[in-house]
Amino acid sequence: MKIEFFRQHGARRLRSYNPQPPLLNDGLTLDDEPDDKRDLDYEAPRDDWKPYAVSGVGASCDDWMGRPVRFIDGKDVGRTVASLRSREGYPVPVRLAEIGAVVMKDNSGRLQREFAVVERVVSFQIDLFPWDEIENLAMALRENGFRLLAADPPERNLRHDFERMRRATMNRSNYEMAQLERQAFARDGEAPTIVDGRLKSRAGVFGEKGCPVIGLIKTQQQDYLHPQGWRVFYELQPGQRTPAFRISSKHLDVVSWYLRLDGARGELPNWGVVRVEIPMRFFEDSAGKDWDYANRLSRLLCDFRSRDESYRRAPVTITPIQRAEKSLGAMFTKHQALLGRFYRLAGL
Amino acid sequence: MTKERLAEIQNSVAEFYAEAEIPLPTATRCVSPLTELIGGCSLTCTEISELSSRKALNFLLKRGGLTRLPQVLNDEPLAGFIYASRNFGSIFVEREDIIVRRRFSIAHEIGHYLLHFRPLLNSASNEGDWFLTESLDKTEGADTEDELSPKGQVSAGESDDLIRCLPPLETMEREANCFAVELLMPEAVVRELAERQINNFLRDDDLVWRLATELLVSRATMRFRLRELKLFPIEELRVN
Repeated sequence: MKIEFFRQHGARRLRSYNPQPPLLNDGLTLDDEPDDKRDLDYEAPRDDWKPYAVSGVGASCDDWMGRPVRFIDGKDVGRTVASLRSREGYPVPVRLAEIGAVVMKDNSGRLQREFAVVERVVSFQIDLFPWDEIENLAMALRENGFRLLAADPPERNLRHDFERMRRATMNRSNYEMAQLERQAFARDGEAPTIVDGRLKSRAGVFGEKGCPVIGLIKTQQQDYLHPQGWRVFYELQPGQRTPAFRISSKHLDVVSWYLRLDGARGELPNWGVVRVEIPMRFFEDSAGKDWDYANRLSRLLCDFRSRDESYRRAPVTITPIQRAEKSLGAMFTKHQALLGRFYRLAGL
Repeated sequence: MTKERLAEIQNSVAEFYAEAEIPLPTATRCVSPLTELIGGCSLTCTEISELSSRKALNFLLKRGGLTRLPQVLNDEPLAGFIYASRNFGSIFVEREDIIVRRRFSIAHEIGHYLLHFRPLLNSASNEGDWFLTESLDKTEGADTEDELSPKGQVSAGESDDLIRCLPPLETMEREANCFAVELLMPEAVVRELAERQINNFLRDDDLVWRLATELLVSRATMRFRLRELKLFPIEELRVN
């Protein structure tokens, strides 16, 4: 069965392309949230910043109570696959994606998939189209295994900015993936857990005070450090971390530090460095602001580091997260196959 | 609202489906098919930008739905509008509103038509060119609970005879809202979906987000519905 909506609104296929700058760069940021506030003197004053070694701290981490046993990863594989024409005659991007989340659990040293969910979603700015056609489209997509997601409506004077709308469709799909990750959290909100990425998008789904949830950030998108901090960052040896600092955002305060997992063989200066986040309330109230906790956790992360040289992101990945990615990836349809199915359904 | 009146409204929703010969929504086919329902009754629905009663009635006049313009029209911006005569009902909705708002406005106007206008017009004397209109005011904000307390105005053109036979305006507005909620978020469907999802979420807002997306309604109305059905907060659902 074909869905007529797309052809009725002048849909045409789009090839994969690199994101373009917004049409109107009028000072508006495309990011949803302003920069976070930071307190870099949280563990050490600026002048005392130096690398801290974590490799020799504490006893074995194997029987440590705080040892993470759950590992959560989410995935959003998709792109803008078509362009519609709005009632006003402007092109409107349509994003097709497969999104999912997985939990791997460490059962006495054996990693097992505890929970996984995968969904297929189509997102675009539905508010630019007649309500009755959108209603029928939502039902038809659902019958064919896709969910329709409404991307945030553009401001009225920006309805012709394709790139801005493309970004909104991607954000919507990403947000839905975060919702699936929340489902993964909800299975057991109390067990020590490592999640791939920042914690603030998961705020509220775990007990900030009692539950050690650790965020592992591979890609650094904000500049948190002062000049001395950056010097220390580049001086880090494998198994060393920077002093911890505090990041405050609207929904969650976290304690964070950089940790070098790998890179002593003449690699790039920023090779193998990840950022670690833990909820501030947990660290201060439950862990008693004990720096040994940060050191033990860091040491464990170093022990967990991926040694799979065939894996592109191995230097900034830990094995359980890599396994989670692989496990989830195996549940995804090949994007070309999904795309073919969608195009057939849309009559494109 | 009394339990009896609520049951009558729920019955009206069921009869609306029966009249259009459409099966009731289920958890797997959960979006209420307003398009099909409207098509199955003597109703039409039109989207108009910068909707006002003047624009709506001018639209009908141009298309032969009216022979002359009633005097009760103005340029006040509206979210929804209905013109109901003995033979048909024409619903209008603000085209620039977000989809979920448009659907709520339409469901609200259908509620007026089935609960208040059609029964009265059918019982009115055959003599006279009777009609009733209702204007649903625009609310501030796209997804707020304001849309659950919409303010409207009912008019019967030059004759006040019909108006006197209708319930008080506030009662009608409350009932039209109740109808819209029952139509867009049927209790059985919401209950089943909420129970299916309960173990998937720890946060109330996440459950609201998911169900609102599934049923193509606003988060504000879904939050209201879950609270009304005592499925919110999530903790209460777990206890039950």
